[in-house]
Amino acid sequence: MTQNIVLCCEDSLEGIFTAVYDGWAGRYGHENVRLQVGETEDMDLFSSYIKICTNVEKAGKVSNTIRRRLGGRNFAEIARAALSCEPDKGTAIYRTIARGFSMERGFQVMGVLTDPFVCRVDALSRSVSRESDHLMGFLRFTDYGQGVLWAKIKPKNHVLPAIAPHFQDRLPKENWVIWDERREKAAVHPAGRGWFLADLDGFEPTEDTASGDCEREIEELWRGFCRSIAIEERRNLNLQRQMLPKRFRKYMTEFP
Amino acid sequence: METGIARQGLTLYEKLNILSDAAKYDVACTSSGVSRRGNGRGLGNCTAAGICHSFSSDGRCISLLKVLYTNECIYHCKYCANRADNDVPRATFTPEELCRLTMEFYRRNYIEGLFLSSGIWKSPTHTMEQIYETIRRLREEYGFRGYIHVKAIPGADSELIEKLGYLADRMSINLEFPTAEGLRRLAPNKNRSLILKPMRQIQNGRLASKEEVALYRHAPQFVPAGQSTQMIIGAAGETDYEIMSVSQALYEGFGLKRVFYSAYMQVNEDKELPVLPGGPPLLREHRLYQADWLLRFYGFRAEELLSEKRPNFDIRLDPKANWALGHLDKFPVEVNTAPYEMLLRVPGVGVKSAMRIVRARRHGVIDFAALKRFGVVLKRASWFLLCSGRPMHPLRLEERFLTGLLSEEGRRAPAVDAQRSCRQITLFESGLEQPGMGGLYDAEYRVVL
Ligand code: SF4
Repeated sequence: MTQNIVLCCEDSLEGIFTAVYDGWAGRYGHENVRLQVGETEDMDLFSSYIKICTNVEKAGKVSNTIRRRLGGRNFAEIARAALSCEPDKGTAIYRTIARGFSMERGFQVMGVLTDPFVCRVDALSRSVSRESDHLMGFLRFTDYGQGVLWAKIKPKNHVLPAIAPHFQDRLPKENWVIWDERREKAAVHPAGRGWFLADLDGFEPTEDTASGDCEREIEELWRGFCRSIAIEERRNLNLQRQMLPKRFRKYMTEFP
Repeated sequence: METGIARQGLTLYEKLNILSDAAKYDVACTSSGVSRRGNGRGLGNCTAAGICHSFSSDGRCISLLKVLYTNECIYHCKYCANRADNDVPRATFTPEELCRLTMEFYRRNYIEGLFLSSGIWKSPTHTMEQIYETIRRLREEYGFRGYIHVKAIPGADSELIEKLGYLADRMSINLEFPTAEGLRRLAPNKNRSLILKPMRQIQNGRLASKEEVALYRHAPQFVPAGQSTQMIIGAAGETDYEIMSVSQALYEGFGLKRVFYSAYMQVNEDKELPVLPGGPPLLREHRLYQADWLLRFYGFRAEELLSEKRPNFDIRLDPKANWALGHLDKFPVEVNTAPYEMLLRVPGVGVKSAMRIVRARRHGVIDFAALKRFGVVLKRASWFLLCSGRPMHPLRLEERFLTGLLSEEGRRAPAVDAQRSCRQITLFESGLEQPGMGGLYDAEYRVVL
């Protein structure tokens, strides 16, 4: 019986790619490799566990090879799947990369939906996309004065790296912070510069009263608009719930 | 005249209330069809697929700040609350107020941009001037780069429409009714040729601008997100066949991006207007959106779906299922070999599913388990498909049986249609497969990549 090899790596793109690098170098046979991403789960007796130390250089090599052999679009899909909250994402990514590298036309790899691992990466990436698309619309900034816009979100997946570039492009001249309550991380954007990811264990913007009044006024205008734009004869709360799931509403201005 | 006095005293909150309420029957809230990056200075960008920012209690998407400039109006459209002789509260924005609202809403991520329409204030040209001044200020003085959709007012000076076309992303003119007769009867101040004239102007402007842009990359773009229109359903006694034929003609002859359908809502009483005890014809509207979809993305023609003899859809069935039931000899379809166009005609198989099937079968033989795994919903489709010559279960290609199976009566509330997943719909419209993800992990997220 061949032993299962479990590579335990950090929950980040660099971590996963480092594991891919070491997995390859170890010549375990790809079908024997599993990736365990983030905190350790239950150990099983018949596997051997290898701890992977994230190594920026190795990850960079893997990333370059993926871009070259599989193309930018597939790279983006894999990178997006890496933001998923699902524990099996590491293994799915590893095996998808293995599949792609074994193909003559690696850039077609994400089309091989008959391969369960490719299919899984595809599904994970779509689910991350769906959630980031939602949040690009549903996220709300509040201006507490002090010249900074604050937004609070609680996504299932780690969407900050997927949505921050969008807001950087859109609001280049604003200081803004998007805080992920679940992970206690924030995307921070100083006006006129690039955004970065930071650990931030609390959401504590300070508010001054003068700007507070102005903010209330604008929020009231928005709430009023959302009410008057609805057509009473078409009232359909089920549909509204379907399109805008309740879990987002807690953080939205128009749902007090 | 007392309206003028009342206007003086209105707060911004009250104005917004009146003028968004007056705009709510305009359907098009999509913000799709144009992709424009930020420029590092101004505020805003546009994504081709559009973004929904909220959903109101009727389940429709809120994407744009949708308002009238004014609900003052000199016209007498029978079906409209704002017609000149109605006693309703009137209000008028100033360009400054609209710019401020748009900017403040936009930077808080409430909206994708502005949708500005208007009643006819004094004259079409006068109205268009106010709209132009607002949009000019928003673009030039406020540096706003988000999405702008404006109504062109039929009968307004064509030069104004031309200038506005270089500032707006989308323009629209409502056709209102599929037949000229309906329009004459219910909107006595409007007429068909006056509506078609600016439509043609915008179409030609777009064609000319595309050539310009091909030659000089930085030439200004004219109405880059294209034009749309809207028809009211169920007020003028028109048939579905008339409606779909008009839509087809608009897509083909006028290069329209979208035709929207709006179930008639009774706000006025008038002997010319129908009484609808069952409420607005929402299910019919839903079927028309489905059929419109078939015209634009599934390669169907209006004549395939309906005819003079059978001018209306069977309200219980979606138009594609309806078509399939009339063409059972074309089924079952073999997943592994059928042309893409035929896959698209299978009930339950959408554009995305059909594309995934075509992509996947290049790499191997597809069976039903694989179809399920990559997200093709088989509930309806399995009755029309074979994988390698075998069905998932014994098939019964009989009209009676399948009608019962595919009928949606009472099972599903009429859905959102125009707005249903703006993103999905517009993904195809924009001609892009995926919004660019090259930006993932960019900037200072120092991932080495
Ligand atoms: S032109 Fe007709 S539809 Fe438009 S606001 Fe005036 S009365 Fe209403």
